[in-house]
Amino acid sequence: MHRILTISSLTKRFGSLLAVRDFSLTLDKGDVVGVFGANGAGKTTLIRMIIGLTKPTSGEFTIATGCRIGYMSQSFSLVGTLTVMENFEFYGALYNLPRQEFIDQRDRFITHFKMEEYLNVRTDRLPAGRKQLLAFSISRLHSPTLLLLDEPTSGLDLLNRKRLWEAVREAAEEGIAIMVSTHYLDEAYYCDKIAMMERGAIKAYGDPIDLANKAGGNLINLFLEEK
Amino acid sequence: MRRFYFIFKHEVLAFVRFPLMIILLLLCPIVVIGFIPQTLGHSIKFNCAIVDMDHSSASMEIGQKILSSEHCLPPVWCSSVEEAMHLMEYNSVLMIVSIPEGYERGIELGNPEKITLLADGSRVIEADIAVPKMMSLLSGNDASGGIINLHRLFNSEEHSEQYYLVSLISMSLLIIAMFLIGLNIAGEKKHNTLSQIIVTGVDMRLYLGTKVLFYSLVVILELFLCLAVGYIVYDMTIASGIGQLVMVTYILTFPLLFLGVFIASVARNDIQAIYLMIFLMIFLVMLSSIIAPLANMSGISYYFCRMNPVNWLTESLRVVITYGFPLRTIFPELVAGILLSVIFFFSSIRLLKRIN
Amino acid sequence: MRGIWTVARKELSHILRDKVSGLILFVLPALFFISIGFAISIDIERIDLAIANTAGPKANEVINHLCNIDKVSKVVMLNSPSEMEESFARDGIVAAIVISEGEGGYNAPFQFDLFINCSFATNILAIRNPISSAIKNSLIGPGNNSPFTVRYLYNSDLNRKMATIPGIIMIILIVVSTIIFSISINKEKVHGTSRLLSLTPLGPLRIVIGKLLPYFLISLIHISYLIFLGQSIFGLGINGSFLLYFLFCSLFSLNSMMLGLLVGSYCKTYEAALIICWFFIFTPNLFLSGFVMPVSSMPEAMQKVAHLHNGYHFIEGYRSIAYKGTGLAENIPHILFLTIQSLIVFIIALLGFSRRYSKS
Repeated sequence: MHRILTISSLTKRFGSLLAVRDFSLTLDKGDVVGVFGANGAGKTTLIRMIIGLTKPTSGEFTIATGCRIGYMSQSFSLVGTLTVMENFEFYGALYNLPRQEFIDQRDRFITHFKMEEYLNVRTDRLPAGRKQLLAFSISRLHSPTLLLLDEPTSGLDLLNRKRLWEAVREAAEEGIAIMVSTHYLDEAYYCDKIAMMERGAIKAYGDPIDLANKAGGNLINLFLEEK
Repeated sequence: MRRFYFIFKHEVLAFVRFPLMIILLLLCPIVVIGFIPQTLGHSIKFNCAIVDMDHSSASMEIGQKILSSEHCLPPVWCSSVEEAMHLMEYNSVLMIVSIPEGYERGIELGNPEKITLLADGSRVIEADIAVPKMMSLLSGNDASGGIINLHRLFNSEEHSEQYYLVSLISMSLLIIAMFLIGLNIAGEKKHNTLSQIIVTGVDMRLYLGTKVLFYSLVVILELFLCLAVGYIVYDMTIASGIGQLVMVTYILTFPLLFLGVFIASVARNDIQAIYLMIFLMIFLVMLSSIIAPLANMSGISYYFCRMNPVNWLTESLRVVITYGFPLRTIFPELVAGILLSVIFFFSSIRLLKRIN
Repeated sequence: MRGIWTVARKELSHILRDKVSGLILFVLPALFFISIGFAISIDIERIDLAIANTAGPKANEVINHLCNIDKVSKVVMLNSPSEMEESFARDGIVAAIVISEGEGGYNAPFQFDLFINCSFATNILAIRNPISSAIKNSLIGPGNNSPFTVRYLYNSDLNRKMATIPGIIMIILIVVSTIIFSISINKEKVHGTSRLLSLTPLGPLRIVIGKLLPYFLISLIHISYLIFLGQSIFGLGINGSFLLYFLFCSLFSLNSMMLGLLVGSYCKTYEAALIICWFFIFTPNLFLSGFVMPVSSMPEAMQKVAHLHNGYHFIEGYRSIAYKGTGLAENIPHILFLTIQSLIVFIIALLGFSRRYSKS
């Protein structure tokens, strides 16, 4: 099982607004695909369609059989009144993980992201960087094969962004297929492939270095170029 | 079972860590049950003006009767109806008793002149209560004739606050049931927690059901708090058993809980949810027998009231708390409550899944 | 002025662009007014009656008269008086009459025992009187000639909607002007837009006035169409000066908004604002204003508490101006109370608002 996700001419219309237009993409095991675009390009809508929160207007996507999906939203989607540990327990139970597997996964992420001192802190009182790492851990708790991250670095400083991307690369090395949406172009080089979106459609797709070379050595030229 | 436990635990922790919820829970019985019924007295003491054009001992006797009545405040003696009307315009008097010239002479001749009673019709409720009392005070007998023995059931001593207590308990439970769960779900939608929960693959029926179950227990707790306040302040007792009361409340609160969920599902944001809940609650309270009995409603309002789950709850609580009748008398309401709960439950699940 | 207008325009566009909120704010009050106006009545519209006859066939004439009473919508014939209690719950009856053999011979062939469900402490005479009249009409015997005439002033048709319409208007104005406005004030703090506003040269006073204007305008619209609805649907016109009536209602609306501003300025979350408005402003006004029960029927201590509520003064003033046709002089106490309360509350609210803005 190599191919995890296949998207074929996916379209989503909200009334007269075409949020996603004829979007096609494939995602293999261990791949990290970055979806770039300005605000309103259709990145969040695309991800919401794949996880099933929104129905596509047309087109289709196929997820490999037996695939488990992990998701991290822009607003982290943590339960603010629960502590870090309680959030782990809550989502661990919702994912229906066997007890030992849950303990192993939870302890692994706590150690890896150095969350020991925050375990009894309510998540609504955590700094943004910590919330982000917690949300990422929770999205990986059930060992997904496909991970969808919706603007996970939005509003974070450089150091926390770097931390998250290191975690993403580690996850990819474990064989997880990852799709990340972002509008920070400097993060493109963490990805194996990037898809640049504009007004719901793909403007460019491919290896970030190749695309940068084609755009005169800087991806920003590609980003700013009007289609 | 494990998922159920953790969802339930999540609700408990979220609840106790949100101090406002505890405050709401405590505030409701104190304000609604402890304080409001104090206002619901029915023993009116009205003020009146006497215009005595006769200046006789018979007219003085009328004044004496009014003065010594437990229902009247000391009357104001006016020299003319115009003067008394002026007082009425200033809301100083509710009624004017005008004794015409020649009243005593008329009594002696066996053909008394008519006394005129002018009542302030703009204060309809008070006038309705006060006028018959005044008439019976002046005539010395029942104005409608002594042909009927009147028995006042369930309220022989005219303690109105006791009988509105059930209405107010129902209103308190409605507020708790709708507000708490509605705000909770609206908050989850706002913070996108709901998306994350849906992605975990948990059955929405389990998730929503557990949430509603938790809040139903909160409602029962609220019921006991209201009963406690009612007992301490007004010596309120329950005619039927506690078990029956809990069962009836439990079943008939579910439609209200699911209604709160439904509103939160329908609303696009938390502000809309709040606005919808406020207006809906006022509708449900007014178009039920909380404020006025069903017998006061006409036409379509009456039928709406019969379909109003708040009315079912109020009437059923009355059966259990006030009358002590067997549960079979409210069987239709219980069945309707269960059916409505099921409809709202499944509609809410469909709506929550489509949260785009 | 420009700053105020800018803030006001932003508020108005927010209200109008959120279609559902707009619908709720404009349409629901009208629906509420019409539906509740019809529903709430202190008049008894229907009497569901149960009859238990132990006097035999000779009481049939009486029973016929009872069944033909105008307001009697349902008659349940009971086999015996012992079924009466259960019938109250099962059949939803409000009154039961037991007709038994009288002991007075020709002049008093029957004994009538009327049982009325007083659990609402409602208008008992409205149930008793038609039943009594029906019985008297069916019998040959002396009636009771009352030597009194009674006239109801300002309401000669005894239109009982007069009792409820002011209360409904009060509820609508409190919900829009207090509850919804307090949430709108609080929203700025919760969403963080207050930080941006605090950086502008406007100052808290102009921001508050700017926010207040659209909601005040909405409440004026409500007042206007509620007058129209009251007149056309319920036949209740304004006997006094229309201008005074309109200004008085506007004053109450402004007063309610000041209370909303107070709550919104000091609360940290919408939920807190909502709960405080509901329990400390809406519910007390509902019961203490004279809408549900007359204030004069309350214990003395509660009457004094009632006099401190803006709802009480609104209803008293409304009845006085709209039904009695009184002028400014007669309503000075109510106008003064509402004005002074508005000023005091505004000052306290503005202090809280300024403090929150400067801290945010």
